[in-house]
Amino acid sequence: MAPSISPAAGTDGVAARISDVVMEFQTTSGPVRGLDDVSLELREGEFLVLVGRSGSGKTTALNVLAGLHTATIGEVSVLAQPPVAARPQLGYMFARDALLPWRTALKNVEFGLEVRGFAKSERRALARDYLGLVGLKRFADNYPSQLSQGQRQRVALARTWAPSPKILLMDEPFSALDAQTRESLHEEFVRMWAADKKSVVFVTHDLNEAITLADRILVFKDGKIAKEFSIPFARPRDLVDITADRTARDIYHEIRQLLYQH
Amino acid sequence: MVAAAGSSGLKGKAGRPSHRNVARLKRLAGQIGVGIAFLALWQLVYMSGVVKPLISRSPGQVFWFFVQIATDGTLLPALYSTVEATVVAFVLASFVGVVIGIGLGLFPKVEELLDPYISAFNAMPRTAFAPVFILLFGVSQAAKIALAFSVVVFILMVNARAGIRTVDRDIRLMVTVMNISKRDMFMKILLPSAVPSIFAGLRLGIIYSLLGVVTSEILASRVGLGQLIAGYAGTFQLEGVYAVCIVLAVIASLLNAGMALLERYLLGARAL
Repeated sequence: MAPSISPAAGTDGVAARISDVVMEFQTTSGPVRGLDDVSLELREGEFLVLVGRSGSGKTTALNVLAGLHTATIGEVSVLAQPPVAARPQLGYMFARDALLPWRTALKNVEFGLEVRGFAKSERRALARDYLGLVGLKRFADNYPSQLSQGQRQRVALARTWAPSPKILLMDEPFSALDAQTRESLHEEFVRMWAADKKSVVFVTHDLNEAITLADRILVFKDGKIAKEFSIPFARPRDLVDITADRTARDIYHEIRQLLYQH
Repeated sequence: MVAAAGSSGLKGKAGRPSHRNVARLKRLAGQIGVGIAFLALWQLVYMSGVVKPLISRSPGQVFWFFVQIATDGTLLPALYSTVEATVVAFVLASFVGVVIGIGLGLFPKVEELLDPYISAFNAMPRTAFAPVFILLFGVSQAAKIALAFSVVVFILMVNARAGIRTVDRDIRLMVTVMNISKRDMFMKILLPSAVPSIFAGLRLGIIYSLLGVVTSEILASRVGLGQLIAGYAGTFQLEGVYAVCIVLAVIASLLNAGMALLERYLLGARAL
């Protein structure tokens, strides 16, 4: 956590870094600190989960990495570049699927490839592969309006994954889904992630989700990182085993306490 | 018209075709029923004598007048002239309106400067310009087209601008993180997003084009359905006025249905 490693990020096993960042938003009642002197590192291949209540700064931290916010003070580097320059290597996903209603599932998956300049034949083949990977081969020609919410989020997952981003930034990507759909998407997501170990920053307010997925959890509170937890469980993980595990329960309760104490 | 609309639908996804056909026939039967009921009511009101004899005509009188003008060569040239002006005005105004509307949508700074004037101009009763157009173009097709154009161009301008502006927030966020190019943003996001709104404008625009043309014809014209209406009203042949009005209603419905078909054909199964 301490930013003591040399600043030449990208060559030292660090995929992204936020150093001493303050992020102020102007509101009608004066400036509000979304992030208050936050430093964090995303290691290569790491699954980093940010938890916290709403307004704690977790999504702000993610958006700083995506280049959607510019830090008021401090340094942000993604793959040793400014975030906006690193965007071609980023996959970004959030709770709403943001599919284009005028494109079929297949064409939606192709979209990310199209924008990145992939040739037509290549992107068609890649899109088919990734649609198959999320179990939607049969639905390639369906429009978003003809898909269930879970299917739509699967299409979004395939679209995010197809250009092979080095880093995935995910803002509560499964929070709008029902519990069963969410679990099956977790499984698919983790399976895809295990195949090529992308670096992931994953924002959630669901502590069970956090503990099941994370290598490391950062707990955000009032714009600061309140505490860091390493999650020791071997992969692949089983949700039922983990929920029953004593260490997991301890971590769960400690985070809960942190989040609810004032 | 109705049957043709069904055959171009989704690939048989929404239930079995026979079921849909039965539902459609039932609806059609209901709609025809409402029409017959309206005619019966009209006949009753006519026979009861509550409406002044000066303007009161029976459905039968109107029908026979229609048959007469349809067969004696009065109706067709007028119909042709009106529809021609309507279509020409609609196509020109749609093109110009969509282009300007998209431009305004893309450049909010320019729009800010122009908006008060556009709104003010659009609020002016365009009928007031009809005499100007007639002085400018003479009593001609061009005068009719100009009036209809001046109405329709604003409808398309406003709808195209709104369409460009109302891109979904989530989609905007997603493409921002993709570092989408300006060109892709326009071609792949803004334009397709604006299509439903533009189509709503086109459907409205074709009807207003017809209204604009007929208004111009009523005020001054050599030939056209509006000119027939003005002529019959001037000679107290109200059965003629009603007959032409019904012809206009039928044209409007056909134009509307045609636009709906075109929209369905072009947009296919995409959600609207």
